Amino acid sequence: MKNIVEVKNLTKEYKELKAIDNLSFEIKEGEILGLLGPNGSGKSTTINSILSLLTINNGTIKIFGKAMKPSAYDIKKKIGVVFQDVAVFDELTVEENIDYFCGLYIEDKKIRKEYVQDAIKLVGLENFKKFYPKQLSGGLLRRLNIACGIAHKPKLIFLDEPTVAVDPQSRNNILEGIKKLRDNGATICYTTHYMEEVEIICDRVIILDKGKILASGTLDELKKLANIEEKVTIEIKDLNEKYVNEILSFKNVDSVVYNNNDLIISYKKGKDNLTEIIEYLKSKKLKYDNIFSQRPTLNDVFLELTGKELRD
Amino acid sequence: MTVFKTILKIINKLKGMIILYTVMLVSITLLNQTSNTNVTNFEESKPDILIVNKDTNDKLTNGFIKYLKKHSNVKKIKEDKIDDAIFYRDINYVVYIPDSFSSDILNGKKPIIDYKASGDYYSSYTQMLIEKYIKIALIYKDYYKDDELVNKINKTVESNIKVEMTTKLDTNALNITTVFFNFLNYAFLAGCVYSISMVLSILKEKNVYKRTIISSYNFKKYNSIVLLTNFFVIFAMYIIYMILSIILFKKIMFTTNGIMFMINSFIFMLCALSIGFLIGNITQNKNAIGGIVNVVALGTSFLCGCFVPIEYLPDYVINISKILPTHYFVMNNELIKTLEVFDYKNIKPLIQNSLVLIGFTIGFIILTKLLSKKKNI
Amino acid sequence: MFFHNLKYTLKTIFKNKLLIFWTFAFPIILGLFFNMAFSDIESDEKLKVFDIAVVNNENFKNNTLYKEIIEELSSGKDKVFNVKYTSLEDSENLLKDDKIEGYLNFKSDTPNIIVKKSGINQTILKSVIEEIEIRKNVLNDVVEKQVKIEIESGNYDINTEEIVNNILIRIDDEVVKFNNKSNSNLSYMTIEYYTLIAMACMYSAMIGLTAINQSLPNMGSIGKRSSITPTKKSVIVLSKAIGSYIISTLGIALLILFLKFLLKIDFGSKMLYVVILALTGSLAGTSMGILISSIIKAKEGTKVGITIAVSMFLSVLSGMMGVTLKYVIDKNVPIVNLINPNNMITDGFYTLYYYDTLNRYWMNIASLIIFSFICLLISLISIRRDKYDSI
Repeated sequence: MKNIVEVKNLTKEYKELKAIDNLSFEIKEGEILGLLGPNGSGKSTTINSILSLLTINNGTIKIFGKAMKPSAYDIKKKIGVVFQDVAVFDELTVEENIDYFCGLYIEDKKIRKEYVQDAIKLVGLENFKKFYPKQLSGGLLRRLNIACGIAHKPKLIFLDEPTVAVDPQSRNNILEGIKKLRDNGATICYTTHYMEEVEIICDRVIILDKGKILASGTLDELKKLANIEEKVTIEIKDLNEKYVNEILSFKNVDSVVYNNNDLIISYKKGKDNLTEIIEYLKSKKLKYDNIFSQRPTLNDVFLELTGKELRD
Repeated sequence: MTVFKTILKIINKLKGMIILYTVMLVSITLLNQTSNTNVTNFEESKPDILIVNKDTNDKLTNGFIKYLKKHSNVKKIKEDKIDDAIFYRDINYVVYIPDSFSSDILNGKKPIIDYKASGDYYSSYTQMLIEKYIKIALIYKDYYKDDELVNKINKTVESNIKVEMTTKLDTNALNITTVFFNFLNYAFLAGCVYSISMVLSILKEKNVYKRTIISSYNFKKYNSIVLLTNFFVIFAMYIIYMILSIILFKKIMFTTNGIMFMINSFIFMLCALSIGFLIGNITQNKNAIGGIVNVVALGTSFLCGCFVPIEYLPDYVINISKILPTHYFVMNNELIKTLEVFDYKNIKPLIQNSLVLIGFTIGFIILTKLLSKKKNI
Repeated sequence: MFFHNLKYTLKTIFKNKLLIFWTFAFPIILGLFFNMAFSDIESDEKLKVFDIAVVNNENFKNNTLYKEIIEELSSGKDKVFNVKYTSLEDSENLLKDDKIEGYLNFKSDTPNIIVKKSGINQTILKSVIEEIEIRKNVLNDVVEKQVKIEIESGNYDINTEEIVNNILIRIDDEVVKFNNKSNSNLSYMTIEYYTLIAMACMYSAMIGLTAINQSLPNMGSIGKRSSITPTKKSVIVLSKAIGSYIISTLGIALLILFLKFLLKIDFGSKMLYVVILALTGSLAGTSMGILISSIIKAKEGTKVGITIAVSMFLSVLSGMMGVTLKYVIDKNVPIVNLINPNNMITDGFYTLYYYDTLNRYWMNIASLIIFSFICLLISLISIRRDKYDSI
């Protein structure tokens, strides 16, 4: 697989603050790369730097094998970007907005017309073509924002938190759309602080914090870093500490936390753990309300790596 | 107290606008302040003129110039600025005294006087003055010579008639005071109403308003606090304007006329407050408020005679302006300006106009109530 | 690409209701107000026939000279005033109710003038009555002299009546010849309308500002989106600038047409030069907007606020709140008005209206072009950057 984007030793400072610190990574053809990190971790700055919008203090950026610069119009032609803020004209309708931005890439009117319709279909705004942005709900507006960024069928797409403040329905629609784009041959770089989204759509993930890469790899690779394979949660009332210690001494158990009537047991390896604990509870005649098993999440990975929660 | 403080904070952000209109009020007033002397004796109106004399130092010409200087303000203007000066009424008349002026007169030839004039009554008056002098000179030259001639002409031309003036009012000062109070319309509507409408629009912004309604705060109490605070704000502005008026027109403001000016503006202030409430309720779009307030403030000021003295307005405009509250405010100011005897007969029209103003105020309040009921979420 | 951008620039601006209100509708509304308020000022400035009263007592009835002359002054085409002959009491009441400017009361041969206040009509009344008095004095002087002359020349058969008549005829005959050299267009109220056009030109800065804001990545998300496209920044900025120029010129054209054909404002006879001035004026306004947009980093609302404040300030200096201010500045600190684009526009229209020569007009045009050029140059330097330290 070719590298579509290569970032080497990228550093960007805002006065005192080092927003990106010697960052190197690449985006491979046909993948959805997730840039995951809490707010302020440098995701947007990274994208803006890659796009040559910002002056950078150090580093090289290559896209499609060529150095990226503001006047690299042949590269820009093949890129689509969806920024965090909704960037559309209030004075233009849905269709006109998409046509305008698409027109900055594609001069041929016939092709453009077709592309605009495709984009509308992709984000599911067929019934809102003549609507003005002010008449759209938050979710629909985000979809329009995406359509404006990708209507010209780019080979490489940057999506900077496109689902912020979006209802679940629109979010699913957006994520489906992104997958469709990938299936049609586009390479995608997707930033977000929602782990769930990354787990749903990303092939590969880079976890950023304070401008540095904490970890990168496929989902499975990352989850191995969390050191645990299974997590069992049991809702149980007034558990004696004696039992907690007993459970801790089980084989494979990494840690046990009892808090707010929730017993969370983390296992290093994941096999027959649930049966074992159920039998134990039976034998001790302990009554519980609910019991379920989970695979580790990226949050666990993040927690393991930084000791803090990803969400804030 | 929370509501009160919040509103004051919003007003504080808008203080630029209020300061701007106050500065405009004062500067327009000062620009209009021509002379501040107390004039209770008749004074001739003097045109501003320029004399371009090409005649050599002749006695007759000098006498003529002396005469003109007595009856007009002679200004000094550079040759190339004369046309501008005429156009902008810096001078009303330029008289070019030809080099043959005195010899023509003495030889019985009628001199040809070149002139430039602004075409207003001052220039007509100047022409009358010049004509008068030359006419006498043309007749007297047959009978008198040299110094005697000049003396005789100048003596005759100054035949004076006694003028008695009946009013004891300081009309000059009263005029400027009226300009100030008429301009208050603009200051109140553009500055204060803008601020009030903005405060209301911010408080009534959909989400803020919803939050207020669902809060535990007594809604009626909330509304009356909003009303009171806005009243407080505009009243504070009113006080500032009144203090300004006292500073600017010490002599007038402590007379009965001055007090009546103040009462009249107080009644109008209440009306302005209700207009502010109406606009703030009509729209919550801050940019639209800027447009509406500007059109309302400028429109009423132009049509009702706040910028241009009401006697200069065409009748049809005055008739149109009768549907605007400002008209009654201005009419009252104009009436107060000329009031000398404060008996019922003289004050009656003042009371009538004030009642109309109060009627407008009540009307605006009712309209606001109706509109806000309709719009309740 | 250029036309695609231009098309959408026009579309977005025309649909921006607020922008169109301030740049298209507001000047027209203001013009309408001006028209209603100012239309009578200048005719009021002219000398008008005014009303006086004369107390009809015995003294007046016996004063043939005054009776005849007052009769003459209050009749015919050239009359100075309308006269009511009434009792003293009625005259007093008429004066009190402002029905007359003043009245004459003959206590002896010469009247007293009674007025309520000082003013131009009162001054003219005084002057006219004094002229009658002068006539009387001239008559006395000259008759005396003439009689002396006749006696000296040995003629003792003196016909005083004939002498008096001859002199009266002479007084009426001695008409002074006046030759008016003033320019014919003297309506200074038209300047108010010119300042209005100038204000509209400055307001069109808002159009330039809005349009350019859309193409600068450091000014907003739309600008960011535009700058990552393969379309050159120069093409985008240029099409935005030209688009806003077209719209502002359209607005100015509309305003001028409205003023000329509906309000009948006089623009002088050189229409081609009016067009050139309008084009230059809206260029200056648009350039100012581009400058504000490209060098001030602030919210669009703030920038619009700055534009309005600057425009208003410049308008006031060039005479919108009273043409006197413009004149005072022109006379005393001409440099201030020379660098004020708003005044240069106003002054250009004024020159076309009032003067026959064009020197001053071309200086106005040159000043406006220099102003636009400087604005655009600074903007260009600022816009040329294509990478930013922060967005």
